[in-house]
Amino acid sequence: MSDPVPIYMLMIILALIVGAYRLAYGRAARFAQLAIGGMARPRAQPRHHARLAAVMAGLAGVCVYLVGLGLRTHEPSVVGDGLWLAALVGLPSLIIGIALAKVRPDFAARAHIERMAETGLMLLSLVAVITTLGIVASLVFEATLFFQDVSVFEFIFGTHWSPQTAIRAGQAGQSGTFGAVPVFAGTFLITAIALAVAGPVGLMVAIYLSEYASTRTRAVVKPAIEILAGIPTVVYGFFALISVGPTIRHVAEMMGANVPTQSALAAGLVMGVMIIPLVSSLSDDVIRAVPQSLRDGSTALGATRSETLIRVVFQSALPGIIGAFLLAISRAIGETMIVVMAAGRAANLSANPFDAVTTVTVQIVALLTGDQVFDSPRTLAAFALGLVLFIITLLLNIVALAVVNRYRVRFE
Amino acid sequence: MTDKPSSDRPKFTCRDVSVRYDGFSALSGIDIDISDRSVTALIGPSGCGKSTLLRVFNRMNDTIANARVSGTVLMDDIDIYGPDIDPVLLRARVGMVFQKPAPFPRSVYDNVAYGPRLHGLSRSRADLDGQVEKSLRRAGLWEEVKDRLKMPAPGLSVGQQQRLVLARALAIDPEVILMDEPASSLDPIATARLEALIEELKTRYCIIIVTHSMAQAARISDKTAFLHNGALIEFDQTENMFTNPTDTRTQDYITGRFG
Amino acid sequence: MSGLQSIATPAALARLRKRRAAERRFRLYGRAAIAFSVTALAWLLFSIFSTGLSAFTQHWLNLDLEVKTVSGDAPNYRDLLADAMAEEFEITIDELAQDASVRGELLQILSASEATAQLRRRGQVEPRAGAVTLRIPASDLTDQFLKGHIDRGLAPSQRPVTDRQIEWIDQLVETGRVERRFNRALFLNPDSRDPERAGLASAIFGSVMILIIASALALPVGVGAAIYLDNFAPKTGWGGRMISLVEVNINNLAAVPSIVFGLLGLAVFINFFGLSRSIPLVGGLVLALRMFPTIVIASRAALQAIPDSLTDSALSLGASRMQAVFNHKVPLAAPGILTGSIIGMAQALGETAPLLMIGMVAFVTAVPASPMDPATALPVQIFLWSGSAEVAWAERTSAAIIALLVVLMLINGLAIMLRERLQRKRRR
Ligand SMILES: Nc1ncnc2c1ncn2[C@@H]1O[C@H](COP(=O)(O)OP(=O)(O)O)[C@@H](O)[C@H]1O
Ligand SMILES: [Mg+2]
Repeated sequence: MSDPVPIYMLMIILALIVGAYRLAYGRAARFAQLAIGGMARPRAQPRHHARLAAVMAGLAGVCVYLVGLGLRTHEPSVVGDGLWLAALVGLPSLIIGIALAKVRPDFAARAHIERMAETGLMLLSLVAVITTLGIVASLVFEATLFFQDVSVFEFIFGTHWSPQTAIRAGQAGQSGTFGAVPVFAGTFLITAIALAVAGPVGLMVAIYLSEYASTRTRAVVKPAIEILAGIPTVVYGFFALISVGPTIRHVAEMMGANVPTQSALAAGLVMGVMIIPLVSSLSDDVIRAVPQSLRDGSTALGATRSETLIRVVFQSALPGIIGAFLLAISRAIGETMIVVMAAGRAANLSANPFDAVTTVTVQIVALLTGDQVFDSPRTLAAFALGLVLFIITLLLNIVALAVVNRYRVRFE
Repeated sequence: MTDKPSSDRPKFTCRDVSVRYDGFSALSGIDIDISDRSVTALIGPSGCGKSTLLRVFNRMNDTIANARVSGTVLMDDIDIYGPDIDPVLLRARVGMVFQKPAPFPRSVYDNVAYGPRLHGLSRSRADLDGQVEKSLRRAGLWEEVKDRLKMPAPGLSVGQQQRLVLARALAIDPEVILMDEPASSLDPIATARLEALIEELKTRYCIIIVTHSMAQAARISDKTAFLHNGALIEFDQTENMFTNPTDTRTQDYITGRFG
Repeated sequence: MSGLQSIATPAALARLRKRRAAERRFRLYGRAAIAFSVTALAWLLFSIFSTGLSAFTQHWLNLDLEVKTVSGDAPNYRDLLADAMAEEFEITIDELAQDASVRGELLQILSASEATAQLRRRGQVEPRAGAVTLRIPASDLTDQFLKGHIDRGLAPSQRPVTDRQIEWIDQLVETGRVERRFNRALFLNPDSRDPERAGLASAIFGSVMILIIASALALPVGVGAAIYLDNFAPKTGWGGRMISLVEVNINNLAAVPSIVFGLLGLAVFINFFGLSRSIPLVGGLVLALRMFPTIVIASRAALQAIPDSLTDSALSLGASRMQAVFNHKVPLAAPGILTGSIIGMAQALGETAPLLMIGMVAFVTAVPASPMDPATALPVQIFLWSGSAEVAWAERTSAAIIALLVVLMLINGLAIMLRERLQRKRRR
């Protein structure tokens, strides 16, 4: 790194922490010795005192460090490195002083440090909340900037997506047109194709494996499905690009049609294959949750196996299966690499699966890769699309997870 | 349509019936004749093979992957394990009620109509309505649910659920009803109702019931079979069995010395 | 008629036949679904391996060239090389003068950039003309031709090699100056514009650094959060309601599209905190956030599998709750936590989209030395290479995928091994 100062500062903090630990330990150890000499037993061991002092010093140091780092990057004139250094040494030293004064036999350092540890653990569990808030804040912030240039109405209902060029007169010079309907339509088309593949196939795989398959079949197919689940999406994308797309084009050519290599069909099909394991494992969970007594009841009434499965098992598991499908839809909408590589970038408003279409994620990638100035409507549009993506997938996930979880406990 | 077999001809005839689960022999060499229009009770300590024997009569053991049945089982002189017998058809003749009532998670009506719809037993909606009502009446549940046929069946009380699954079995018009400890999850009042019902039903059906209550077997059954470790130890008229059992193991079990 | 026959009326039998047919159909759908999934996997693996395996070897040329002059202050090594090769293939000066494209074609059959680099190095050591032995990779064109990926039977306008080039290559093969060797460059070199020099080193280093940073952050934080939620979080009242919100939040976060995490990283780490684009540090931070919910969920499952009686007995002996949990519960749950975390790491290793967002798509020709240097990652490198149309790139992309899949298989194998061992211990 070109600028070594932050690293030196980190080393100073480390030294302060070590120092605090040693100082506090030394002081507390003297009390402990006195205690052996007949005085009242101290309420905590030296290491507890030492840990407390070290943690306090470290917290103070890290706070000063982060504030300094932030200010330094954004307002280099305000914070000189000297001031930063002074604060970095001064404040923790003050804290160490207070901590050392507190090292007394009647001070319950262990209880304090445990309460702090518990608070620390609680803060860790808040990382998820902070992440979510961070996502919402950054998406909303950038999207708001975008909607100062482009009206929400045009974005949601406009049918022309062409971020590179100014189409209509009167628009700001470098900005294009941002009618996202073709993008949403493309996302919808590919999601529909993917679900049409993954839904029935995933469900039937789950049913066949748990109800019909021999142990040998299961021993082969289960790992195969797990491998499908573990393959990175960029690999699926490449597969769509070099194998599935060309094959579709070939077949279409033989039937006299002219089809591009990059098409909604190629991307949708491969995405469907990618989602099969998700659907099948979730369906497997809910199907297994249907109690055996229900199946036996149906069999004893003279139902064949498939009749029992369709009329009793499916019917009881339906909410869970719907939840699984919703999660699959959310996954398909948010999937990026397959569509980036196999669906193309042309914003066609088309319902023809053989056309190249574009999706929300493809456009986000297209708008943000390559060199461009930040804060241009082009890059901000990516955040507006990201916001739409986040809201839609979040709603789907909340509903789906609620349904799946409620369903799982219902029979237990 | 069905011509009435003379009452001395047995409904079921088992000869040398054995059931194995993988290597474990759950039943061996069972010879038993079950008479029609009567109640036969199967008793014995838990794990002795009562449920397994019950499942022999409607071939439910076929659905258990590791179970193998051997020997001959005749129903009205037809080998129900014969090659031309479809278990699906057999089960339409031999109804079964399980230990824990498990109504399907749908309406009361749909539960009872399940079998008739499956087997195409009704020609019209009115026909089906009639069958549902008849079955619910026979199961003694009609008065309680006639106004809420559309309510979800799992909302009924356990006693009502047990009679509902009985009605469900009756709706396919079977000749035999198998019951596996049907009263074990019921309170005494619901049990009494069920027993009265069995008393009523035995005029039309051949009933085989597994129970672990000696008193219940004594109250409702005409004949009783005592099983022990997968073998049929004793099979006799109920009053004989309970007054002077021939085998000491039967005696021990009835008097509560084991099991 | 007795019972069984009474129901076996012709109508009932016909109906039964239909029901049995429906049963067979249903079973067939199941088989078809299985066949579809397995075929898809087989096709994928076949197409990757059949295109990629040949990239693990590379043709090399041993050339003894007569270099005319290496004097003057700025020798044009490309010209020198072309002239020396012309002599090698007995092309007269006249021919060279008549047909301007000959020089270009000559340079196309070997890795010209590698050859000129070697000449330049030699020229610095002993700046004299004379015989030079070059041991250099063949160009991607020659390499693909020799591997049989270019059909010599096609019309000259249909294939990328000219008739002349085929002649020269054949001549090299006949004189035994071509050998096929393991393609070390694929693992040792950073990226390059020339397929025969392009390698994964920058991507591998980048991926390793990203993974280390991401796990170093996500593992302690995720496990800590799981421990809190499992043992210390309030279960009832106002606090309990907050905690259940946190849990819903974690579950939902795990299902948020990964590209959204990339947008977060771009907005927060790069735009707000001013870190540079394309560096492993930012990649690690973003993937740490992505891994976090996965690790929390896996760790909670592992912790919940440990019976409460364990901590209860420690508590009854006077340990504090903190001690009971950390000394008795966490060590037992550790293998499960580790397994879940390893699977989370495997997922992170395959993540591409969030890295694109933070600019890790740069063309990086140096192996990164620190997490603050520009780098790519393995999946991103795959994406980058996949964009080039030439056969040689498709071959190398597939080879990179094979490498990635093998690493993923090893990682997952490790996780499975850990899980088995854990289960065996439990059973005992
Ligand atoms: N599916 C099975 N697999 C293996 N053993 C079984 C299975 N079902 C029952 N058994 C065994 O067969 C014996 C008889 O079981 P069961 O007929 O259920 O006994 P009962 O109903 O008299 O209590 C028991 O020892 C039981 O453990
Ligand atoms: Mg039983």
